[in-house]
Formats: sequence, C-alpha cells, structure tokens
Amino acid sequence: MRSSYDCVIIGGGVSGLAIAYELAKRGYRDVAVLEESYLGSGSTGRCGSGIRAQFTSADQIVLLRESEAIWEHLSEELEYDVHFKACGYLFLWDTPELVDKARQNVAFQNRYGVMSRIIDRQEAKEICPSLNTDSFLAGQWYDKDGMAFPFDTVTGYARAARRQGVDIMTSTRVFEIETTAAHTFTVHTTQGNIETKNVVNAAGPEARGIAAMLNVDLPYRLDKHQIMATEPLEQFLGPMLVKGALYYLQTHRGNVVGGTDTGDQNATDVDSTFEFLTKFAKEATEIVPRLAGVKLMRQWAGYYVMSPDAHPVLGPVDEVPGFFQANGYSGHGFMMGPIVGRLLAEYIADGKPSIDIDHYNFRRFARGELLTEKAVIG
Amino acid sequence: MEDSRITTHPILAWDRGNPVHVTYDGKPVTAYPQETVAMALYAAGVKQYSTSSRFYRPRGMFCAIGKCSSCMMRVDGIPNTRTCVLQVRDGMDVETQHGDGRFPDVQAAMKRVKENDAEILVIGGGPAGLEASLWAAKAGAHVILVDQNPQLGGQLVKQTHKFFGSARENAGTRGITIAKKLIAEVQAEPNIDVYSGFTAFGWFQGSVCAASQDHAVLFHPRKVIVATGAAEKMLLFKNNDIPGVFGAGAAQTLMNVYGIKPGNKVLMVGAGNVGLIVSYQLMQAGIEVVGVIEGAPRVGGYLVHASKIARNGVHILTRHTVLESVGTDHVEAAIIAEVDEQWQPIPGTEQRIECDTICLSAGLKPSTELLEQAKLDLVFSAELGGWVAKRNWAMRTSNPDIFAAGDASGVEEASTAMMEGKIAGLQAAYDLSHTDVPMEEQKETRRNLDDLRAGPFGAKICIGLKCVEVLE
Repeated sequence: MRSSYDCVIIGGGVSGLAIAYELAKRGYRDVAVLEESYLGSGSTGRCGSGIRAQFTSADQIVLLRESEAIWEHLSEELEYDVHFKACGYLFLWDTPELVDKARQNVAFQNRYGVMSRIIDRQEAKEICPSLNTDSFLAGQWYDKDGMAFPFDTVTGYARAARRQGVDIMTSTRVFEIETTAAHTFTVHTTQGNIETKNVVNAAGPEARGIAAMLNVDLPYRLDKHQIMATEPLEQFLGPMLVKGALYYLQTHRGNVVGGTDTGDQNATDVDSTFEFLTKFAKEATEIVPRLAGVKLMRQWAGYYVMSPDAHPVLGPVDEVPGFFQANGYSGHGFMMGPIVGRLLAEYIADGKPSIDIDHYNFRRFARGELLTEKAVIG
Repeated sequence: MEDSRITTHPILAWDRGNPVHVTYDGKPVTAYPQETVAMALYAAGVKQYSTSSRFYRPRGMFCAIGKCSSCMMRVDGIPNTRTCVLQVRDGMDVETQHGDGRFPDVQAAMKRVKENDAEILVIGGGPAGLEASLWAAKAGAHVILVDQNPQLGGQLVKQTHKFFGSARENAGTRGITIAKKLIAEVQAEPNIDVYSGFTAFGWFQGSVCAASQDHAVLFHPRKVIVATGAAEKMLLFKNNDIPGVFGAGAAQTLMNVYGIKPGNKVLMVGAGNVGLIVSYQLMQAGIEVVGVIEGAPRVGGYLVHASKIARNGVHILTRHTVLESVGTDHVEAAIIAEVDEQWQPIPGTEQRIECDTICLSAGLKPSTELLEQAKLDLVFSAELGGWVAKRNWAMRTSNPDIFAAGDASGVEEASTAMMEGKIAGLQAAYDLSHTDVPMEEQKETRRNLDDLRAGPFGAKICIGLKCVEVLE
C-alpha cells in the first residue's frame, strides 16, 4: 500500500472491485481497494447469486439489461470462470390478479428490450420438470436472466484489476476520512493513512458509516435476509424460481440456494433463525415437493441495504466533491455489479457515463424525486 | 454370496437375530436388524458405496461412525444418505451413488417439528456425554441426551481392551463393559431423556436443533454440554482415497461392534495406542496383520500393547511411512518407504507390501462444528488434535452456558473423557442450583483427572492444556 492514490475505493465486494477493474481498463490505474475483512465478505459473498432484468421500473430494467449483457461474457473478459449461466428466472403467480399484473409488467419490460413473457403451466413444467403445477396459475419467464458464483466473480475482478496495477488491500479498515483544504482526502486506515483525490464508497452495509465520516447521511435501513444451501445434487432444477418472497436456484456446484422473507427490518445481527428454515422449507416444497428429501447443508444471513425507493445511490455527492457513491442496492448489488462498475468508472475517469445515472444521485432524496420499484424479492 | 461376518471370537459374541433383506443395486442382500446399511453391504462383499462428485473416484468406508461422507448412497430414492449410521430395514432399496446425488424420485415426508425446553442438553452419548448426563441427573437436573448413532456408547462400544489407570477409574475393565454399565445406568435414570438417532446440526440463537430421519426437535436449553467426540485424520499419500483405505477406528467398529472382518491382510499405519490396540484386535478376529509402520523413530503407544503384537510375529517398522496405495477399485498393495529425520522418504527404500486393507491410525481431530457455530473462543492445539474450545477447570467455555467435554474438547482417551464429562455435568447442574451431589465430588474428580495426566503419557496433553485452559 502506498501513501497516495488517485482513487481509493472502500469495499472489496463486487461493486468496489468492478469499479477498480473498469477504471484500470480505462488506463486509470492509480487505484486502491480497501476491504476491512476478506474479498466478498460483506453482501456479495452472502447473496443469493441471482441476476435478473425483470424489474418494474424502467431505470432498473435498463440497468440490468445492460448488466446482463456484460455478465454474458464476463468470464472471457476477466479470463476467469465466474460461472455465469443464463438459467432464466421463472416467476410463479398464483392468483388471477397477480397474473394480470404480470402481463402488464411483461409488456412494460418488453418495451425496454427485456423480452420476458407469460407462460402457461405446461410450459413452466417443461422448463422446470420438478415443479408442482398445482401451486401456481401462470409463469413469467425470461431466459436471459441467470446466476453467477459470487466468490468467483470477486476473485475474477480482483485478479484482473491486480493485473492492471490496482492495489487491493484486505484486512484494512477505514476508520476516519478527512477532507483537506486542497479538496483532497486523507483516508485513515488500520494499515496507515492514504491521500487521495477521489473516494468511492462501495462499502455495502457499512456505506452509511463511511458516508457519515464525511457528514453525508445516507438514509438507509438494514434488513436481515437469510439464505440456506442444500447438499449438492446433480443438475435438476433449471431456472431460478420465484414465488412471492421465496426464491431459489441450483448453483453450478449443485447446491440449491435460496431464501424467503422473515420480516427482519432494521436488523442489527445476521444470526440464523429456525423460523426462517421452517418457513423456507414449507414454501420451497409447495412448488417443488420432492425437495423434502434434500438435506440442508448451510444457512447464513446478510443485509439488504434498503434505500427509501429501493434503487441504489450512484455517482457523486454535491456537497463533497470527489466522494462517489455505489451503494444502497436494496438487495440487487451483485447482479448490478458489472454495470455499476462500468458506469462509475466512466464517470470518475471521463465524467461521462454511457448510461445517464443522474437520477440515481443522492440528491434525489432531498428533492423528493424518488424512483419506484416493486419487485424486491426475498 | 460372500459373508465376512465373524462367527467365533475370544471375547465377543454377536446375537444377530433373524435376517432381513435389502436390495442393493437391484440384487438381494442379507442383513441383520442391528446392522447399519453400510455394514450389511460390507459383510456381503460390497466395498464401494459411491463415486466422488468431481472425478468419479470409487468411495468406500472411511470413518464408519457418521463423521465423513464416504458412505453416502441413495436409500429408498433419497440421495446422500449416510449409510454407516442408518439401521437396515427389511425391504430397503439401496443404490450406489454416482457423482452428486440425483434429485429424489420420491416425495419424502416433511419432518415433524416440535420444540422442547431442556434444563441441560448433552450432545453426544459417548463416554463424556454419558457421564455428563448421569452426574447432572444425579445432582438433580433434568437432562436431554441427543446422539446421532442408532445406539448409545460412542466409541466405548468397540473398545474390547482393558483400561489402565487406577481401580477408581475402571482400570482392568474392558471398554465394552463400561459402555454397557453406563448405558444401563442412563436408561434407568428417570431424569434423563434419550434421543438416539438424532443429529444436533445447528445453533439458532441459543437453541439447538436436532433431527432424525422423521423428526426435528428445537431444544431451548439452559445449559449445553457438547461431547461430540472426534474424527479420524486422513494421511496424504498417492491413491489414498480408494476403498480399502480407512481409519483404524473404522476397522474396530466393523469387527468389534458388528462382527465383520474389515479385510484379510491389513497394513496398519501408525503405532500409537489406537494403531497397536486395533492391530491386536484384528489378530483376535482372525485377520492377518502384515505389518505396522510408524513414521517416528519410536513406538508411540504403550509398550505392553506393542510387545503383545510383536509376540504374535507382527513387525513394527519405525521410521517408515506409506507412499502409495496400489489398486484401482480397491487396495491391492501398499508402497512404503523409510523416512529420514525430517520425515522425508529416502529414495531407494521403497517396498511393496501385499495387503487388501490399509488402516490409518494418524490421530484424531476434535469434532468442533457445534462449538464453532456457537462462536466460542477456539484455539489451535496440535497436542489436543486441532482447534479446541478455551475453557476453565470445570470445562466451561467462553459462553458460560456451554461446556465441552471428551474428545470434542481435545483428543485424549476414554478415561479422561469420562472424568471431563462428569465435571462438566456436575457444573452445569450446580449452575442451575441442583446440588444433590456435593461439590467435593466434582473437586475430587478434577484432582483424579490431574493425577491421571501427571504420568508420562499425560505430558503432551498438559502442554496443550496450558494454552487452552483459562485460569480463574
């Protein structure tokens, strides 16, 4: 670690590392990534690993459509297998009202080039043969949605960034950030101080605390979300299944991984609960009954960093020039990682991202210009 | 059909009852009601249970006590079933598992879930857990004892040798006799509820969940004693994963608990007490021991055991290690070599030993999964076998409501495990104001434990304990 960099990125999850990689790719190589624990130890390594563009707001549909375009070729780009697989997302709707709503969503998504469609139970069964067709009326299907393996993604980005000269420091905690008269920052870390012109806050659940060091109040709520993983099995499932708050997929390694909501808002711990396990088991076996014979292997929890409108905060902060946000993902940080990395890097390096991210700016909260998103799962 | 069940033995006898039948890959196999699936298959000559998930390597028995995943098969349509601890049932359908398990083709019943308060929850029904349960109950506490095996007793049930130590601590008594006595006492104790066949798998905010094939129980305990034992260590050598390479303890389980010959020509790797005792017991069961090898310059176990097997004509080769197991689907021979002072094989000293079984007696590792999940302070102690929980003299860990005892708290031996269990059980009871057993009894036990460790074989343990025991 040196004592000065052009850009210091706080957070060694998918966001921070993707930003670092994309900056380096643009020749902006004087970059350090600071991670307080190990890479992927925060939200990235705890996430459900799903990637989808089937959202309800135009902004997120476009963002994720572009993210999926990067995901599709990310392994080749990083020269590291991130195990992306376009397994598709299959939403199951079980009331006529929900099916109607889904039809509207599909039409809306199609307008932005996300070619989701409503399918009947027969077709859903062909896509996912183990489904119990009595558990839903119709499906909503998009075959470009998928999954990737979080730790491989983090490793892939970190290696590629390092190859380009980025310094990545683990076990390095930031405990204070000072602004200087020359509009630069002094970042105080457990491994020493760093002078820098730009600070990127990609600290996931810690983002609020990092921003507070510069008197910026990110209006986030931490919700605890739990996940379980089963023993590995031969590939059988097919798509990511979603029904209400329930979701699960089968990873490249064969484990069924998924979660459901337990209503833990404003959480202060990430302990596993038994209530989650029984709720998940009940809901999961309603749609795929033979999961009842599959054994649990692991259970864990992480935080959804909920912003007031369930959209992330991206870009600079007006009051503190040089202080960039990439946080508040509201449960969607992993899937957004590649596109956020690209857009933030374009913004920092050239001041001009290829997709306008102005409406994701922090200032929207003060102005009351909130975005809307209904499709938060899990 | 092949039948490697032992019919005559100098110490043991097996009342097998009437045979039942299971189907193995479509073929009928005879089994006996007290056997587990893996044991019954082994007796019938089935040495391979599955293939590995990535390279499809053959997998056979390794630990035989539910600690590893080597024996996972598909049973009645359910994949990844640990067959070494699953009792046979007439008509069971057992299939070899190739690679990752195939999704179930039947709909298993959901486990019935209930919740239970527990004054003291003891996890593990081996020597430590049995003693902990008994003494906590004697002190007046109500105890729930959870054990994952079909029967209580832990590894005592296979220890046919007579224990050393003072008369007070069961010296001169065989482990199997101690097991019978303790199990009978536990079963007769109205203050102990036993949940056999239940695996305690997780902590949920101070509660512990245990599950059997059909049920799950969420226990809300006030005190927990973790006595989950230890698992045998693997050794690194070429081809070490094929059937026929297994833990010395597994061989002991096969022949002493189930009366099944583990092989016909056995090479024992490791001349500690386990290696020596198991070698002798193999000979008692009529099995040829082709040699005992030991990497150290000297035999590690008691000389009385070493001379017993030497008297029977078995060579103990010190400064030797195993380099390779020869064979594709099963061990056909072993390549061994002499090692230098740095434990490196000396080129040119390789020799081939014809054998069908390689028993590894390379030490044990404490089973600390639950202690880790409980977020206790753990420290690494090579002397105690690996990561172990920090604790005070009464086996209390960094969480005041959680105790660890027996091999789970550091690998030692059954006598000390029993004393640790007793000390922990009494302490947990005292914590809850149950004082029917005077505290002097506990203090006395601790003094006896210290005395037992004061001998030359306790020296290593005492070094380990220096980093692990917290003085108050």
